[in-house]
Amino acid sequence: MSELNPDALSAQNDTNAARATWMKMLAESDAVQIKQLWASNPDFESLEFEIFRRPERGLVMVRARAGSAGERFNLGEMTVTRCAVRLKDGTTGVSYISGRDVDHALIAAKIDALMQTDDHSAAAEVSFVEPLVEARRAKLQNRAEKISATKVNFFTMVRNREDKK
Amino acid sequence: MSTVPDLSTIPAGFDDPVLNSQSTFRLVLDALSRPGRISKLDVQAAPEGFNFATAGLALCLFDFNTPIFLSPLLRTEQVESWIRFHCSAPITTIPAEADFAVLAKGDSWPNLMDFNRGSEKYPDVSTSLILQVQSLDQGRTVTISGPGNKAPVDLQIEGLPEHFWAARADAVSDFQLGLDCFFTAENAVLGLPRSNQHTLKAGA
Repeated sequence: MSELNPDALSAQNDTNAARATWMKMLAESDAVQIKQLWASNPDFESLEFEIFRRPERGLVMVRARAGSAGERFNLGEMTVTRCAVRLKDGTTGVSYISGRDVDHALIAAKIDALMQTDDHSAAAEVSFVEPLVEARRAKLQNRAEKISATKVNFFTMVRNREDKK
Repeated sequence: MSTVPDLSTIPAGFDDPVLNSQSTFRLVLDALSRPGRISKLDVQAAPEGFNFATAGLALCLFDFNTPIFLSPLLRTEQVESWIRFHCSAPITTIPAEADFAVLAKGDSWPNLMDFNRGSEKYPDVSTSLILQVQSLDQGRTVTISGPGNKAPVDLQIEGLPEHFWAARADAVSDFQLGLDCFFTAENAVLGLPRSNQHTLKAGA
């Protein structure tokens, strides 16, 4: 960031925020669903992707702070698969997903690249991101409903001491 | 402040990171244990400024806790991004801090004594030099002798600075301190560990 033009910076931040949103969506999506979506949109398969970082699995140390103010500690390691692809015009897509699914990582990286292009972002948005957002919303709602069905209301009954006698 | 590397031009790394690093490591091991023997690395891509053999050594040996020193011509956006992306290695500008140093031919090389030559307790923490040269089979003849070869071996390395051999002699004069060198040209690599002494052939 050599030029500190406030407009350019905020535009950059907006782009980054939008990208972060769809990258998160791609990473959190269901592996089976994202593979089905990719398979059902063969138009994108013809595009050439250079895979300059093949999907690779590794461990990431998750760190945390107790109560957001305590000492930082190592919570534990989680398995992460990452991937980076590039389209012919130089647009790069990257993905970091939890777990070991290399196909999921590859597809997520490809969609990330498509979402950044002018030509394909609209189509990719409709074909991939929107169904994933919808599925995620449904999943969260389903979960919330299941939880609310088991909700227990606590209330105190006033006991009549006389009954015990 | 860490800047985001430009990924749009970074050349690819190994096709198969696991198998390629293992086979490269074997060749690197051979290069140092049989000084003077030329090994060919199977590498197809390198950032601008690196030759293929240097790229192979980097992909195989560099990681997040090996600081890398680069000679001035190699301190480019592309090389640094490539190292960060594929190796996650930090870049240093202080020779003594570096675990590996990549020096380009025709560039200004720091004094070899400025690199880390290890300590008496830990000679292994020294800087390993990766020296990019013109060719490994032309130029002035140098005879090396030491562990790894029964008889002295002749080397011909084209593209080293004038004072390199004198400086190397100083740098390895108090064994077990010293510097290990890899000479690279195109996809060929030749190792010269500190244990080997060299003599310049007279009259050449």
